[in-house]
Amino acid sequence: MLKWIVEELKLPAPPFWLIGGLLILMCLPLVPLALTARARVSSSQKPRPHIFLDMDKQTKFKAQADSPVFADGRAMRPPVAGTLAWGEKADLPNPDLLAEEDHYFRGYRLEKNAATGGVDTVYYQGFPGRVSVDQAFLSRGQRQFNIYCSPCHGLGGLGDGPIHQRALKINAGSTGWVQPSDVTDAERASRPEGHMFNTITNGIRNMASYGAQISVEDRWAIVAYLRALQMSQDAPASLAGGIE
Amino acid sequence: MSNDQTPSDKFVFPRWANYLLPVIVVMAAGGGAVTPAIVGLAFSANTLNVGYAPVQPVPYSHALHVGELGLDCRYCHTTVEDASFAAIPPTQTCMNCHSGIRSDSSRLEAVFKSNETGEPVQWVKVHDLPDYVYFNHSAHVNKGVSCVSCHGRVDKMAVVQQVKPLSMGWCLDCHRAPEKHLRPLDKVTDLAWEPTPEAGETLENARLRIGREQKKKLLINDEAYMTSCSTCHR
Repeated sequence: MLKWIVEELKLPAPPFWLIGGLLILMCLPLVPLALTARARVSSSQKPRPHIFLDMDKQTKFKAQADSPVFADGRAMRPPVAGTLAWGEKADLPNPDLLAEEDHYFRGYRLEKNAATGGVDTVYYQGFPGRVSVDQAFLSRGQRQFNIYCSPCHGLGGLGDGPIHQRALKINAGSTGWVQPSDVTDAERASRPEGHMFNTITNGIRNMASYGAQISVEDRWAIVAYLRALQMSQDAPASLAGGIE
Repeated sequence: MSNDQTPSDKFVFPRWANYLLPVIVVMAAGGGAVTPAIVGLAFSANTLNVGYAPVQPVPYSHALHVGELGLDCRYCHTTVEDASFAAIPPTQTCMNCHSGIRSDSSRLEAVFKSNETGEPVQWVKVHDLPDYVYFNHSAHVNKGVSCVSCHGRVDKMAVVQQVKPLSMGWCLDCHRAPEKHLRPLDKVTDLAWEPTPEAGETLENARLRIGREQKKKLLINDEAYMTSCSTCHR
């Protein structure tokens, strides 16, 4: 091509630096392309660069953000003691139904014991009037049990969940792990519903409290499902639908 | 410059300068075509947003806790079905198990310190939308959009990484045709779920069939609503 230019068009040979410079210029676009390709196949520990902020970051706090305003650094504030947020009215204790509210929210009531002069914790038998135990309620209980309880207690409630299997595998007994209870055994089956509800809410022995993770109604649904699990472990043949 | 030129006060372009005009024309045309393509590629959400994997204060592995041990997403992210945000769990949730398991591990130091002092663990947000987007988790998981559609196979991630661009165009892809991503409600947190094709049906068609069924059943809004500005920007 160069020969053709020089001989046919009678132009002088282009200087060496012109050809070199052109080649370099033509290669330059490959640099951003290579950087782009690398960025697409690799991960980065830094967030994306923001050249134009475009109100991406506004002077407001989103959920669980940190804030320099408060000493503990939390932008979300815990409610002032003794107050309720708007929309929480469904959980407001009803002064006319104090006993019923205790049953629903705590699962137990405190009774003065005349004989000892102390206060006894009395667990409620049965389900509070607010909940209706039906098929949908049991299904909800099963669903929530499988999410929150089965990791330790197992899908059947026997205390053999995957977390316990893992604890056995890594010998966690030496660091304080204790096998979760079999929630279907005779002792648990004999406990009042309110006692089981309180155990989920506040924990017991090595089990942590789940009151913050599971709503009040779902805790009652889980108690209902626990009753079903317990029944399934000690069911008479007549309940098995004709299967011998 | 050659020596046979007569000395003159006038500047004379050397003969090779004849090359400059075609070179400049060709380069302007080429640059005009290539530059937008390069800028578009380099600044696309696929390049900038995808792949963000910050270092967390605790090397928590979703691959172990979710993939291997089978914890449900909602065990920790309890608010996802009721609130706009999927809560990062409090330290108490970690301590449910780690009061007994690996309670001597130095990798969990930040958790134990937080448990003692009450100060939160400073987890780093990975999937961060611009502040003018009002994304609502509960609106999606209660309408059959799985976690995996936006977050990828978190159950396989030892370190959580953003795998989708989460750009507006990407959101709209689904808002225009939600049936491609809808699934039965009890499979929303089952990240590995695939539809079961009927006889002679491809996997893609099975996905679309189930998606269309869900779209009808869950009363998903029409495209006009789903692509309206004020659906996501308020």
